[in-house]
Amino acid sequence: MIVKEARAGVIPTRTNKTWTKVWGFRHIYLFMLPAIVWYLVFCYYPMYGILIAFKDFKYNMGILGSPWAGFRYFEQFLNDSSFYSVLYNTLSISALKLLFGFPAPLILALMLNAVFRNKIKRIFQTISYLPHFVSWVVVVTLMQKILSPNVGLVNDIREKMGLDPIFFMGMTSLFYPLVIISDIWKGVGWGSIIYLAALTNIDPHLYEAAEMDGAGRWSTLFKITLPCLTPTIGILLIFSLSGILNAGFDQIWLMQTPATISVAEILDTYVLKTGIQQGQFAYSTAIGLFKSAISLVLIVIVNKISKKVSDVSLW
Amino acid sequence: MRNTKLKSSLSMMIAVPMLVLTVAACSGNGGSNSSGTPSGSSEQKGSEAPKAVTLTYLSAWNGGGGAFPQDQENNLVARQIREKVGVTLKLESITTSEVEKLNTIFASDTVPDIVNAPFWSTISGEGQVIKKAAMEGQLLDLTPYLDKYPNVKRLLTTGVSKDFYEFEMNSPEFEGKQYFIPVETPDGTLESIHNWNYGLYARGDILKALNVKAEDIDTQDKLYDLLTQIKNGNFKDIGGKSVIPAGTMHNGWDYGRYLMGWSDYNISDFRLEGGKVTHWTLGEDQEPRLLFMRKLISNGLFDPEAFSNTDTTANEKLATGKMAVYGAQPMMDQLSKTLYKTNPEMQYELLGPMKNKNGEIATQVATPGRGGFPVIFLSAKIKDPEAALRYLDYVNSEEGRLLAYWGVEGQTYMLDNGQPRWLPEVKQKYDNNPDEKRDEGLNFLPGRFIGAFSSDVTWPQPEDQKTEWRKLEESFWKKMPIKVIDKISANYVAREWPQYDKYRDATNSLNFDTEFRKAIFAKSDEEALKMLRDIQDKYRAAGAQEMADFVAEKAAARDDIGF
Repeated sequence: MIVKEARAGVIPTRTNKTWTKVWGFRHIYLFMLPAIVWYLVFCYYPMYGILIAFKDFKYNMGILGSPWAGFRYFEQFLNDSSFYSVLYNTLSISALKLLFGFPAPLILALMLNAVFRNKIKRIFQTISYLPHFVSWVVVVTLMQKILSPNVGLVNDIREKMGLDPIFFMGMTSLFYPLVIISDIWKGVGWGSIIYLAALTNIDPHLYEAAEMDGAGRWSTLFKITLPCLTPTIGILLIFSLSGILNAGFDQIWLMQTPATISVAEILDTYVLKTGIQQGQFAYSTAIGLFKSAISLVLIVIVNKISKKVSDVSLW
Repeated sequence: MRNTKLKSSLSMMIAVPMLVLTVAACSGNGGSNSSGTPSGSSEQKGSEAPKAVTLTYLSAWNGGGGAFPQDQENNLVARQIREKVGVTLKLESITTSEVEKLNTIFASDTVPDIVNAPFWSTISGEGQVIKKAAMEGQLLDLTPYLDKYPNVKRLLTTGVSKDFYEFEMNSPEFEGKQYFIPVETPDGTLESIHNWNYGLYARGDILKALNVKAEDIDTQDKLYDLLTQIKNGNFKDIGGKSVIPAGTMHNGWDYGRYLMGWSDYNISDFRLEGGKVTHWTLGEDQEPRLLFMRKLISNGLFDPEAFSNTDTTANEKLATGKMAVYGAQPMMDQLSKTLYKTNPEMQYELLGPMKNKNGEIATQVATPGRGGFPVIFLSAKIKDPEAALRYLDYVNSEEGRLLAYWGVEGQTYMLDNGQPRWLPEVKQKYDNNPDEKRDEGLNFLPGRFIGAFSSDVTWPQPEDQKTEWRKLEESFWKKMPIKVIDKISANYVAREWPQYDKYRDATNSLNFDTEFRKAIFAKSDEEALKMLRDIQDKYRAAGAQEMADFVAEKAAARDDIGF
């Protein structure tokens, strides 16, 4: 292209050069186009809807035409009697998911990586990926069926043993364990893909050198594998921490019962209830925006800390 | 070069369809939500034929699609209506919360052409959502059309209680505009008020095994004893698994039936207790009600999953005889097709009727006209409102009602001294399989489109024409006759209270029943009572008691106010 332009007597400017490069990689950019359109349509275009948080939303006036309400709905949320319990539940569930759910894919990836027989490895990989494709509706329905006090398998066994049935899904003490276990079961296989990809990128010479030096499996793991995975772990940790206020809407919404609601009401479900069920759209948007703002601050802080401590960062 | 070209072509082949798919996914807004398309689907079939129009219809009732025929457009009734008025309906229903669906359609501006939704009051629940939508331009003002459609116009007043008409349907905020068409209303006579037969129903075989007479169970203590006996009796459902002593249909509907011992004949949110008027949330009965429910749950007598039941799971429990006792309506449509066919010995019997706090039968309380009912409203964006009103006017005409309830003369029914009677072979077909009747389109209109009418009053059926299920239902009516109170609800007096709007705004986000349900599952009675008092305190702080005092003062000055 440059040759063609030179022949035509065009002096290449910086913009021209950029466009020339873009044109050179046009098929790659074309691949990106649907994703860009998707982001524009589903993420950026609806973003103007956050204005509702500052408005007294009226159906007939639309988002832009509705009168301004200032920060009234943010104040209302901060003074809401549910504020602390909802925030506490959200942080508790997220922290537990982070504590138990974050290392699980890494451990699975390391275990799969240690399997030498490819066929067995693939079988395990496939089995572990499958739950990811099952929707939360199905997963929670299965849990309800298995744990039901009336028709559930577990309680059937208890009944045969002469024990009284237990309403597992309605016990506040079991709510968090059930959330974490089902979350790990569903996500562990899928989450391990990135780690498996990162593991294949580790230079095999490092392992050969370690073997020659007489390193055992554990020291190879701690001195070669994990250090080499640090950037991947770091990036994923940053993402997880920034999303700490996303405790998992689908799962929690479906698992909530009146019996567990005191520990199960999280920001996302509260937003839905105030917005869609009570019709307080401005108030629920304010709660959603509050959550997004906190997440943004978190991602900036965690990224900064990560950059300082481990030299791993998003930007 | 060839390689690059190949790459380009390949990337085009993949990227372009993906792009088209993405854009198409965003632009499509669901065919079912699009408004009527009179221009697009219009076709003049000669000068006499009515304009062909397709309209979208939403039944905003949880489980409301049960009466829909399988073939929505070409069933017997739909075909006849299309011939008469040219309108075809595309029916949609929900299996989730009514309020949630209404808020969603209004906020996303996807209101179907015709909507039927609950409208019990304009200060809470669905009615509040619909009122806001009406005031904010989402609903069509029917006023200019009404004179042209007398059958529709008649529905606005006939069978509607005067106070509801004045304060709810014609709230001053509507500025004289009419948005709602009441349906399922009586024809103005007391006999035509429909008895819903709310009560507690117990499996007949279990009562027999325990040697208990259903009519003897009429107090809270006797009910508790019965449930305990059922639990200890090791009774099984049709699958051989243990029964649940007490249960409900979806979302705990209607657990209140287990608490009728604390009920009274009320037509308002206010209670007269020991000479003092209080708001229902602050009533002295709330604590014993809560403790009774807790006792049922903690002793394994009440289904802990009842409040999480979906329509599907509840029907499953019903169809398998899983619930020894359930609280709701007789559920004859579901049971006659399932449990009563497979296990007729399990046929449910009405307990009691239960007695209320005054020792009287706990039964349906009504005002002469209905206050609170399903309403039909039209979207402000409907392209052909005349078509929708033509449809509604026709199905509410004498001819339309005959078609809706009975089908086509000579084909499904015949007239005997002016009274419709099923043709024998048709009756047998419908009795054997009620779904056949549904699929002819003979269930969905009477249920949700017709008002100011009672088929029982207009077309009383001789005994030999009634199904055994119908006879059973009527036997329940006799046991629980409707209590009619011809007074103005105290709710409307409360609206004169100067602080009323402030109170309404302060309690807008409070949900007493949600907190009550939470308290039912609290770890201890103390914690449960604390939760109850907390929510009561919130209502008190909002001014519930001051409002009740105001109502009491106003009500004392006149004799036409009912609590």
